[in-house]
Amino acid sequence: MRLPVLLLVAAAVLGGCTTGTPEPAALTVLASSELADLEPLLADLRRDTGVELKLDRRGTIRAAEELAAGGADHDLAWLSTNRYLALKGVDLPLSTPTMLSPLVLGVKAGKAGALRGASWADVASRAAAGELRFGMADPRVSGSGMAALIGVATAAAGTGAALRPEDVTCDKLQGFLTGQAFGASGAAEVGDEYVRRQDDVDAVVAYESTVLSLNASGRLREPLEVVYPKDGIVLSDYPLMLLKPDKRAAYDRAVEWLRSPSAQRAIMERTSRRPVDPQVQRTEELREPIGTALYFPGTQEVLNSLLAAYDRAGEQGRVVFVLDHSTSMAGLRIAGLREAFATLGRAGGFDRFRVGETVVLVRFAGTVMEERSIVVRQAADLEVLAGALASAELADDGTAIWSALDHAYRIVGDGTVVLMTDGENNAGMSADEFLGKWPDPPARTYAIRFGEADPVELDRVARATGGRVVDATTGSLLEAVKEIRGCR
Amino acid sequence: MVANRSTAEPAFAVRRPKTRAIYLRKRYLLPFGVSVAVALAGVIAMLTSGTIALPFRSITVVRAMMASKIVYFQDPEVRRILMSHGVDVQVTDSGGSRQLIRDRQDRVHEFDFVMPSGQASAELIHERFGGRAYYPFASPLVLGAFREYAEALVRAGAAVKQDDEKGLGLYYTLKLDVFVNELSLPGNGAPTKTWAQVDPRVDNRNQVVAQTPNPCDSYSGSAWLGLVAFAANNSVPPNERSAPEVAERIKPVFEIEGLHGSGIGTSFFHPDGRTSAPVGVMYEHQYIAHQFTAVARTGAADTDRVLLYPDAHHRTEPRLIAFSPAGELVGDLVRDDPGLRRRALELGFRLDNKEPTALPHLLRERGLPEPALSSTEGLLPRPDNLEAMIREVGDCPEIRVPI
Repeated sequence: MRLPVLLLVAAAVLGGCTTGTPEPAALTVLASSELADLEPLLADLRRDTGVELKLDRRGTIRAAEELAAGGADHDLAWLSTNRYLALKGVDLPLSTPTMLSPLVLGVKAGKAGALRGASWADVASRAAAGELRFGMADPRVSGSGMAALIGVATAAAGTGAALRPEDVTCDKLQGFLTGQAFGASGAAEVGDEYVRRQDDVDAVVAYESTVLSLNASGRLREPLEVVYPKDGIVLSDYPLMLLKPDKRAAYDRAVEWLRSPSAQRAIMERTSRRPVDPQVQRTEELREPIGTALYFPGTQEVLNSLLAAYDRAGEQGRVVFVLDHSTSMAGLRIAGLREAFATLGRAGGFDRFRVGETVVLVRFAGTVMEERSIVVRQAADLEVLAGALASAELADDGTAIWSALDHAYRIVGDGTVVLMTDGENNAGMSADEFLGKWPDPPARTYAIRFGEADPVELDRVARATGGRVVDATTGSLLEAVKEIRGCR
Repeated sequence: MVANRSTAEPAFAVRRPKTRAIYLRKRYLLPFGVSVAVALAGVIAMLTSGTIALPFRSITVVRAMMASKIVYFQDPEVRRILMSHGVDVQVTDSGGSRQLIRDRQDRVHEFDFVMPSGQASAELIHERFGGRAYYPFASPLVLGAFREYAEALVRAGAAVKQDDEKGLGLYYTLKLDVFVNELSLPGNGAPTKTWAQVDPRVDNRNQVVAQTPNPCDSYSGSAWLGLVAFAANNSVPPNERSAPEVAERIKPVFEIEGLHGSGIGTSFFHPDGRTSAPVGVMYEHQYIAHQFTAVARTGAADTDRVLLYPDAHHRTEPRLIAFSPAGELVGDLVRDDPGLRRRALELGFRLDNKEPTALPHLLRERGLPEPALSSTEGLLPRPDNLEAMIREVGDCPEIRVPI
């Protein structure tokens, strides 16, 4: 008779033993600044698991520096990516990706037409001409800003491989950076700043989640269209990282909750980040295919070069082109030269002449025939540059390469010199006289040779300045000019 | 007159009520009975699952460190079976199997067992720390790829699609020699072609490469480096003399990718896998486990993701190396417990040593074709030569061999 009672008691005791409520735990988290938008979800996490995540937010780059220097005393880190940490040689902690968001261009619907399906090169080309003004977070602090620099520079190098230090010796970022109308300390702040300045700027370079959230916020007078640069994507996967191994149990609970289908859905709906769980049905706007990710640079050195280029943004650039116009240039050669200038003025991608740049044209044959300086202040000036050589005449009084270069050195200021010639020097100064006069050359000099130009002499002079010779005898002149654009 | 009144007390016959025990009454019995039935069902369930004894049995907490094989010990079913034997395995992720022997070797003795993903790393650990080794399962090193990339390799003559009775076309054979010596290292200083150059139907301007985890840190990365070196050296493993030269020659292949991702074997299966890891070096078990899950969830295989089996193949043998009786207990269980062995199969591992046909059987059972593995083994260089090559290619901290 008493058996059922006993059984009931035993079952209750056993049941009580096996289902324990988890201990409440509070963890400090060094987090990327944009994760402020997760705060409401963290309340649910706490309710369901007893784990409270206290976010201490700052830019991803700053946070990675702090972690690498051993200055952070947090239990966990939750950054847009752990790559910056890896580049600093830190032994990566246990990391679990929680959500995804690609870096994109959010551009006003009215301006988006020309940029639909665009590449980073198209974006840079428009920015260089002053036709596209955007906001972008500061890459010295923010992961989204750094991802933008990496995306643009990798696409500009065009090798299809990760950037190596030798790929970034010439600065291909200035055209793109010409378009930066404002900076901000983080991915979320760039969105807020865009709202304040939306009447003056056209676009924002930010995470897809930032752009979609701005559209949903009701704070924009004109919605933004998302452009996924077709020459490559930088994707953030927001790993939750365990810094203190003794917090493992609470970390596991938080990860399990964050990766559950319901949390993944909530993340997607509230923050417009893509779920990592393939089973969670994505919203229509997040089903957009995002193309191929760019390979990520393998050294910190590359990132440092990109930051140095960023710091140069806004500096007035000056280039002196010393252009052979002797009669041997007639035909295909002069046509190639004119085409190169037309392209760099109108649609040169990363290498387009840009607003803020001063381009000096020194045309020569037996003597200097013309010196013309064009300061690019707006798109119309680029059109002038594009046509500057269209009707320039050739002369048959010889080829005075070194005298023309001597002229260029006297007007170069702090710029660089690009010399293009197809002949041997047969007038004016000799190479020895020239080098004797300029033992300490005032400007780095790049020479583009084609036809009969003497490679040895050109090389001797170019090397003396720290520059080099590019051979255009086999390829196109435009490609040769592009090769040295941005070399300083 | 005094009435003669009867003063006798009325006599009541006190009848004992027909008593029924309170717990036999209907009002009581019904809810109680239901409760008991539910409780009994619970107890029976716990009995069969093995959890009933937990409160009365001391649980042995076993500490372990490993890399990609963490998926096995984190599997809920594996945890449940181990728990029914009174074992709770707490796993620390080493990041990569080779980190077990480099940065974390001071910590190896803190664990009851470690489980490097492959034999070469395992041998280094075994030499240095001893312990008892178990070889519970195996898995070939493969390339996972999205369909159009595999087809691009077919077009370039570097792969052949395998026939299968179901016509799903999930498997390809990779001609390692062509892949390495013609696509990856075209010679004459020419850059590696991009995917779009190899096949215009692939919208990808990145150079052709199989993305790998860092060879410095991971077993799969280091073994792939060994296979690439084997192919680049006329199908002979480089020896002490040729290793430096071969390493220098193949270094560009590993520089294309720049910073290596750590989780190709997981990011490939993410919804945006095509974006971040369209072709990557992984273990067969990761792919097979994904297909089993796909079949269970949707009733059909994922035909978008395929596997390329190198024609010079490398069979990885994750080894469980136990340093304590608790570690050996886990080793014994993983090797012998039928439930755990079955679960290993369901997670895509092969049980080559005892049941070589078990995985093919299970594949058939789940409606999936069986892949054809090459019988030619891709020979890895001797450990000290491989280490020298990894150091040259990866610019990584030294692991002295023997460590």
